[in-house]
Amino acid sequence: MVITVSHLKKFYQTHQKEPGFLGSLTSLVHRKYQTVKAVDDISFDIKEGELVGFIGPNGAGKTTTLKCLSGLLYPTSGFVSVLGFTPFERKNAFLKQIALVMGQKNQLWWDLPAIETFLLNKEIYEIPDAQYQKTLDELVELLDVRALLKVQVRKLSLGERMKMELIAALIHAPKVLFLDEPTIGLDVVMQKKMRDFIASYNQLHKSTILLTSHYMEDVRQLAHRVIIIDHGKILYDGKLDNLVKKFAKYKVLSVVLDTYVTPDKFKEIGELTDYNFPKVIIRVPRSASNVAAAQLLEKFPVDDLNIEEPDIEDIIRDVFSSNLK
Amino acid sequence: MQRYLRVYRKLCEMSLETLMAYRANFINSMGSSFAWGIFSFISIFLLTSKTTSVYGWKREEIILLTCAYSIMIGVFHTLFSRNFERMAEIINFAQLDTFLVKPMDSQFLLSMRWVNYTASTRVLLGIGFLFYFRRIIAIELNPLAIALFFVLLFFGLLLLYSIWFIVATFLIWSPRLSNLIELMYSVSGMTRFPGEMYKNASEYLFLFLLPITLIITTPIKFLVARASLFDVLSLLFFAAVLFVISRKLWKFALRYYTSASS
Amino acid sequence: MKKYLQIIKDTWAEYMMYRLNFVLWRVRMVMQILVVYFLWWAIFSQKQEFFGYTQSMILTYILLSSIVRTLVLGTTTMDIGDVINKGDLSNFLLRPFHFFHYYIARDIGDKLLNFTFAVVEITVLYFFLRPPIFIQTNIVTLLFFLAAIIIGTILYFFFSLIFGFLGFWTPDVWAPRFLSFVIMEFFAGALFPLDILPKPIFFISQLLPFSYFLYFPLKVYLRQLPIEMLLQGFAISIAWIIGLMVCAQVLWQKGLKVYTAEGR
Repeated sequence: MVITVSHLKKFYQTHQKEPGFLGSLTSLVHRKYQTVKAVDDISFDIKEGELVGFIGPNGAGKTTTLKCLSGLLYPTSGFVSVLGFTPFERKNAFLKQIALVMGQKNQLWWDLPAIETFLLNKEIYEIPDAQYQKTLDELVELLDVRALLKVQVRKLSLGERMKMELIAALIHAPKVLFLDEPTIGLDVVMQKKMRDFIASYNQLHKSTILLTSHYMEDVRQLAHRVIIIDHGKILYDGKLDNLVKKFAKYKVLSVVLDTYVTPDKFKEIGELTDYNFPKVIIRVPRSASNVAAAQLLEKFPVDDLNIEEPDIEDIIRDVFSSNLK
Repeated sequence: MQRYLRVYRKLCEMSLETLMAYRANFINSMGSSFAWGIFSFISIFLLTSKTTSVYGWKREEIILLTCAYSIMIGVFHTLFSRNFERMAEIINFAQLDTFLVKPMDSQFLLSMRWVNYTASTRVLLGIGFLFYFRRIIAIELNPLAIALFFVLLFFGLLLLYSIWFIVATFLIWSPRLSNLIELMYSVSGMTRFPGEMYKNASEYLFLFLLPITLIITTPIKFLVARASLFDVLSLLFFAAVLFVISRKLWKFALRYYTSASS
Repeated sequence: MKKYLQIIKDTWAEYMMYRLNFVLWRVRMVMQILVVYFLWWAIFSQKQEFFGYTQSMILTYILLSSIVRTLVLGTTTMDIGDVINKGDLSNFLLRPFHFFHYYIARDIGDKLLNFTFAVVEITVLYFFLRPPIFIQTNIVTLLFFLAAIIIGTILYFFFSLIFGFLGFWTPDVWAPRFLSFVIMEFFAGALFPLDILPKPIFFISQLLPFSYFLYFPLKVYLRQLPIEMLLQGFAISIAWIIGLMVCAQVLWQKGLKVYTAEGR
């Protein structure tokens, strides 16, 4: 086990402050503290080489968990072990083997070419020359930025800068990689490139990767294993396919009609979610999907029919909303 | 450790390259720094022109003090002050994590990340005026005395650094107090005057400012053979104690930071 | 008119939001004055008279400069450069008030607030330090003093505006401004009255606009200027106002053309 988390809890205190001068005065004397349970008793294990996706809405506790694992936060209670180390002790030997990439926190020197920051990290992480060159070449090829190495960081586009940030974070070939919302703020093309990169990196190096996201695509494309977290608790931990089977209560029939049929006629089959002639989308309970399909083919002028799994986003949304209840 | 020296060398190079990347800014900053230094000298020279002795300090000694101040503050601003300003930003904008995740001492990285070469004009000015006034100043140059002088200067620098770092550490609890760092510039400015000046004004003030008054005046007093053992020991004591406090306080602040944030 | 009153109130509200920062700023100001004060105290412990000044004159000069500073040099126009660079200027151009008037209103807010604090600080310091200060009672002198302060204030306003307008042409507005601060600290007469400088340097300082920020009004107060110097001072300072005002207007017009052309 590369990562072991057992009954991890992270609570922190906030206090309310009333607006205005009187509010400031009262807050000096009497403060009402509230405990925010960012992470509330979670446990999981991750093996070497796994690529795990943490999904959850904003404020679910994903980033907090990641920070606890990388040593930036001191847990309120529970046991955390990464690569055999206790993260919050922040031992150098531990830090040399992990990498944390968070969206807005950049480490590249703005006015210099990115390669200078790489060389700085080389010294900080004590990477031998040969290994540095090898890793650099490989990353540069994978991300296709050879031509940009000597360009000032301030002159690069957002996408190019993100690639350079990645290289800076990976130049010491970490065994464990924590990625916090890696595709946030990127355009569709860049998002795909980022996902491809993460997948390739995981395959090439067998490094353990933990990423957080609230984009479904990230998880769908990358994570073999998914951990759903909401309000500090784990709702599901397992393979994505199983998630669908376990939580999806319905299937989606997507139909292409030959001739026009009035919408209400579909009521007997199932719930009509979208009608844009000639396309029709109907929701039916899982168990009834075959029967419903047969009925459609029999009674309606159907040109084409597909039975699909519901969108993962919808499933997860349902999971979250049922969690709120 | 060797690794720290290699990293620092790289940081010095990178600061130099950044400096060269902005030529107009470079010339302007050098100009400001130079002008500031010249004006300080003219002021002191003018103000002490009619006096022979101020609080037991002869005019030559005041000039020597001003030169030493210029050199010391120049070194300090070159190595440290910009880092303290950035530290306020870094803590305020929650960018501390980038530093904490690196396998190097965070106090080192935060204090020494940038080198402000333009401040070295003050050092050069100090040395220049020292040379210019050497006839007026006229002290016997004994190699042992010079060596000890530099040792005391080092401790003065250490003391100044520790005070700044302790103040900057408080930003972890109140990140928006960026003016605190600006205040430190004023406080550093107070070191240029003989400690006796503050003593004369108010005993309480003197006691409060005691460490500050030791920073430059003690090495100079030593050089002109007027330093009491008490002065020297106080300097060494305060420098050592405050440095240790700065490290302990920083570690404590980091524990707070990692416990209280999300 | 009401909207300008609102702007003044908003400026105060802003400062109150960052009140700890503001308090630190005042602490810095007090510290700086104290250091200069003690320095002069030290000098006068040896002598009765220094370049024609008595201890009371100098200490009055120093303490009063701290108050006059808040009126003349207090400004919010330092962020104009950034406002232009970030494109926020567009917001102004769309609103129903003149850019200049907005900053004048804000400055009045800033000056009043700092002035109040400075008066309180100096009063407190007076009771602690008991310096022998000189209170001017001649009404005519006081009127001239007020006039000199107003002129200094207007002068500095345009001076600062010009540095702000550099933002139309360059992203680096702080470096030249910082250089001007350094020169100004010396030539405005904050540390010491300028007439103790060697004659040639003093002569130059009278031609530069800086001495009219602090030195000139303070000399007027101390009633140490012969009538010709008084008139000369007013003449030169008013000439500078006209010059800087024209310069500011020209830069503003040209700058706006550049700004709108780039379509920010």
